Amino acid sequence: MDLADDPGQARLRRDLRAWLAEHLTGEWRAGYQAGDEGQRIALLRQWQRALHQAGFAARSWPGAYGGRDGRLIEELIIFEELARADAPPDVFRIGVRIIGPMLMQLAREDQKADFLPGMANGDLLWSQGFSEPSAGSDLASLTTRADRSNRGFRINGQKVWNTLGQHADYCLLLARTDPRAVPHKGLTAFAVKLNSPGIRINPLRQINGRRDFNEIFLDDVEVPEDSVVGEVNGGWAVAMTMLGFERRGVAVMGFACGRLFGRLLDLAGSVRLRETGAPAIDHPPLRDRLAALGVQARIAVLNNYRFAAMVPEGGVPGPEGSIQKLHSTELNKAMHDFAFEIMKGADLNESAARDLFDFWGEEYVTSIGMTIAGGTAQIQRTTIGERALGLPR
Amino acid sequence: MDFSDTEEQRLIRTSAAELVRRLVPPERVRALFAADAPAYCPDLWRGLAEAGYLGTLVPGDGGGAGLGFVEMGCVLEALGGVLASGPYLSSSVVAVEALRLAADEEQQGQWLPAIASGEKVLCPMIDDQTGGGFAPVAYAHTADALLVASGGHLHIVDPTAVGVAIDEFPSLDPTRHFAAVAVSSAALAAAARLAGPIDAAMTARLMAVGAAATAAEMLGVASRAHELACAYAKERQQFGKPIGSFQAIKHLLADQRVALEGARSAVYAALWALDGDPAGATVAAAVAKTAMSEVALRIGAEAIQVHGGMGFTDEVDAHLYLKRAQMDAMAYGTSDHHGRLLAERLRDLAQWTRLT
Repeated sequence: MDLADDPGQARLRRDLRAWLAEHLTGEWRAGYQAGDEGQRIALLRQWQRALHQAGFAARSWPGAYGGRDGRLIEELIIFEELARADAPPDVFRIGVRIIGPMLMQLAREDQKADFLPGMANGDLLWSQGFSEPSAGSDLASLTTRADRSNRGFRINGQKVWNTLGQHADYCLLLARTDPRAVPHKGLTAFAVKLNSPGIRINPLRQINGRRDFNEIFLDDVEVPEDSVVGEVNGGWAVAMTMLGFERRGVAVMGFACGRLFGRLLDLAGSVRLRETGAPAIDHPPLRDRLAALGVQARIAVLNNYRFAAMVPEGGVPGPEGSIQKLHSTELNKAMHDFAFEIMKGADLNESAARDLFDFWGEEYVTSIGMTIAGGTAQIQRTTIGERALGLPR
Repeated sequence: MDFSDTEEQRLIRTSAAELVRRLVPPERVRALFAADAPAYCPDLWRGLAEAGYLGTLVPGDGGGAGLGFVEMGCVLEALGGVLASGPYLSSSVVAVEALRLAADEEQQGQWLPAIASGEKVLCPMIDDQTGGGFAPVAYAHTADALLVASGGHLHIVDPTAVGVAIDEFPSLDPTRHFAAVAVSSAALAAAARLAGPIDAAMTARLMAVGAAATAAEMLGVASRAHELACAYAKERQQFGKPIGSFQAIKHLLADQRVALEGARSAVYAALWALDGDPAGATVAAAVAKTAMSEVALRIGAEAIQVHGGMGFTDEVDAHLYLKRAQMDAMAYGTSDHHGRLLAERLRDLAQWTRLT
């Protein structure tokens, strides 16, 4: 156990900080803020390309697939530093952290060669097509069908909660290929090009004002035989492998909690309370609550590093990912809740205080979605209970 | 940045747990509750000495193993898990650190090998909150000497000397012994003292050592209480099913695990910081102690709840874990104490990674 960086890790941290100072300029941020949705995605593709060129994207992947043969711990250090620097949103995360690692375990060699390098360098934006209107937590009950056709398969059905599909190049889609098999045995995973004829994508307006996720309607969509990922009727293994990596991907949320704590301190330092006329941070009850949140924020960061040490390199993360997800997403909510505690006491006669609603309002509402996305908090508790604690179903 | 155990740490973690489980079976814990029973089991103390654990922190040239706080934590976690009685935390951890900080070579030679061999037990009294009185002090009446902080020095006081009052009181925790200790100024003046003075930074260091070590002890307590609750939830049947299959119980136990694993991260980090990041050790220990106290008290109480009516009987051990956690929560700074410390150092709390 050594919680200090070794010389190589320290160098990586320093290099990344220097690189961010050079590339993540005020000008870049201003350009991003000013852009519309499409322009922002274009900027984020460039950002991913730059990160990748500098060796900071998909670092743990093999060199042959666009990685740097790095260790997982190096990726965590990168995530931590990106969070600390308020780096732009990582829209390539679904490809790089979830689908890519799954492909390395379960896909054909030609698929790995076709897809992985583009995921890493920002050429290919991937999304995921699992959930359906009547198959959310109970994923195995999904009804989108893929029937044999002359060229391969013909897909019909509807997907939902597909993140960024309106901008994405591909979707890793789960469909039923054997309706007679027990629910989770008749599923197959497909790599579907989102510009295929018969696909209609409808962005949904979310309660935080954004349009990150979509409904996808699939109407006689023809996909070639070689778009199958893994085995025909072996889609459940693909889905479970991806869910394992998705939980690990949540490590980022722990680092975000660490960053968020610093931001709460800044907020409490800048907001003047109506009742005292002094900054919120000088109010002892608020300081005590900040300390309690800071304890948990530090734990969220430590959990990331400790849990990563429990998974062997190249292994699929186990239920400890659910522990981490539950802790960090609940904490993220509590911390945003606290931001509004501060704002409730603020003197809104000051226009600077009123301006805070714009940023914190969106973040607060976004935090509420994080205990739903990627498996609800309730499903995580069941997973922990059954898989980590061994409790009966 | 590597959170995994070294080969040696892995070995100590397993063998300490094995040894302690063997030496302290549940019936042995309860045998010590009898009025005429010894304060702690000589077998355990001998076993810990023979395995080298009493001298984990004692330098190699002082007859010890010369290991670090992470290794020491493995032993304390194991001791907490079986509700062991004994002055390990006092003598082999806090007193050893005090000797390392303030004793001269001769004093170290006199005490460190004797502590490592189990021949002598030293009872540190660092946390003077009342000006002269110390409470609760663990195992004061069985110690060979008290190490009393007063007036910028650590005094080596004979517990049987005139002017020393040791008032053992029944605390909530029947698995250990606590006393209120008062030492008169005449007794202090008559006592020898460690060569070096002890300043505020050293006192803070000793408090951090005590807090992190207590948190490690509590980690063992809480882990075991959680295991007991999980085991019972798998075995106890109601409505024709094990109660652990009901979400009300399953989710409660899942939340316990989340809280427990988080506290574990904090405790390991605090133990590491005592050696690896001394400047950050006070904050890390405060984080560990507050987080761990909250979790141990909650799991202790919930473990009784999961056992239902049986949990409220003396037959089931669950209550012993809660009672032990309550006294641990009091030692080396309450949550209130550490919470205030952190509230004064919010920026340090936010500083979670140091560039090497």
